[in-house]
Amino acid sequence: MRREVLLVDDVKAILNSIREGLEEYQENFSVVTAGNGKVAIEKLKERQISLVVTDLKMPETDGFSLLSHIMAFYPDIPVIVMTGYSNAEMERLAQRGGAIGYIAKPFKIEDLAKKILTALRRESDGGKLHSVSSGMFLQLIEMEQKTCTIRIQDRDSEKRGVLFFREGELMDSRINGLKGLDAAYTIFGWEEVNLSIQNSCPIKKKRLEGELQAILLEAMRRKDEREKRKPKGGKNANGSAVSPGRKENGLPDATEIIRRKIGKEMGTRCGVEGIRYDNSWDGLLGQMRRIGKSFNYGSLRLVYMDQGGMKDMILLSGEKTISIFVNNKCPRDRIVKVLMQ
Amino acid sequence: MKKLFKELLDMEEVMGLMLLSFEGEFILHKFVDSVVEKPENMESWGLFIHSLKGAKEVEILFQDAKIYIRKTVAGYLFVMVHVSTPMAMLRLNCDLALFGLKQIGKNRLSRSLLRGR
Repeated sequence: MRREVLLVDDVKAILNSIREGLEEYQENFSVVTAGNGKVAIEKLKERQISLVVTDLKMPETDGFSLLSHIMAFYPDIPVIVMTGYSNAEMERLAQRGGAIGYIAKPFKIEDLAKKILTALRRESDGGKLHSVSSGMFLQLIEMEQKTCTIRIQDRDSEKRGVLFFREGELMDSRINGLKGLDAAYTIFGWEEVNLSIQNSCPIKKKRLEGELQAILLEAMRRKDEREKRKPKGGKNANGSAVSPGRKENGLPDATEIIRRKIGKEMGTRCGVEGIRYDNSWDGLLGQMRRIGKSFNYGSLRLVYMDQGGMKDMILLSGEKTISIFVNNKCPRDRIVKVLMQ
Repeated sequence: MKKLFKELLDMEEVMGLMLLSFEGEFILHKFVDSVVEKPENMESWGLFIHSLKGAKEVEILFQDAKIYIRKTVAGYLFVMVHVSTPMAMLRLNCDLALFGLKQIGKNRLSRSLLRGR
């Protein structure tokens, strides 16, 4: 992901000079400029800004107001403050306001670039992943009870979003200026994503209603609605192929229906690690059907197998066998009951 | 041997049980009601046990009944129960029975089984 740094200063000459100086680092980030805090706020809404460098004394919205706006609405975006009126009090105020760095004018471009690069590197101090399934990964974050900020990019649309997790709980999310549940529904609708993990979360109070599993399910439902409205023919309006987990008629397939059912009935702590079509057990299921017939027990419906490892397996008998892998946190009798309903 | 599984057989919902060696030979079987077909003639049990691939526990849910299969020191224990049977209680009774089975030890078990045949 190439990052954008927003540079804010009311003196055009300084703005241009810094921008030109930072062009040398364009492999790492590009620079967007704003002449005051008010323009900067608009740019934050429109663009996917990774970091802000701002002057403090400016007309209209000054640097301190901009800093407080960023802390309230974009707490994941680090801010570096630069000012010509440098003193210890100013520095202290900027840091108390949430700035992660401070640089006194005049400064060497290399010094500012170094601060920017250090801050951007922190975005992925917990690692980066490419081409992963967002749903499974996010459930893993919840299961591991991780505290982190995840910057996520949809591989299809290249849109970016941010998710905030504290001890596995989804605290908030945002895409540009869009926040909360609406942002989460959009992000969870992305299937294949690239992401970077920062091992900290700036949000302490939960701003999102609902549990992760429920939000994932609602995101899927909304996505289905959108898919239904798209023209038929194997490709959607964006020209991308019909997504996995969905039949060509736009309806979700059996694995997706089961995933939703479990999510709805059992919530986030269901312990399900994977659901897929699997014919490798058809021989055993055939033997079980014959046993059932001999005993006059009726048709075979479900098999739960504890193979002695970390994961148990559930086999659902049907036209195509479906296997469900569950971990040791899965309430066994409950999931069997849900699947038998 | 039957005493060992008395608690299990006394459970209202239990319709029958079978203990098969890992090779699929019948060590014991007891059914509350008569079964249509002799279990020995039903299936190639050796092949079925081989297909379980060493599973520790298996629950098979049919439309009208359940079969709970449990790996033991002597082979596989099959417990046939009504479809509505609470499995937690069944597993607990199996735990108790299998603890007794373990205590007897594999050799003593073989001897007692031979005597019982």
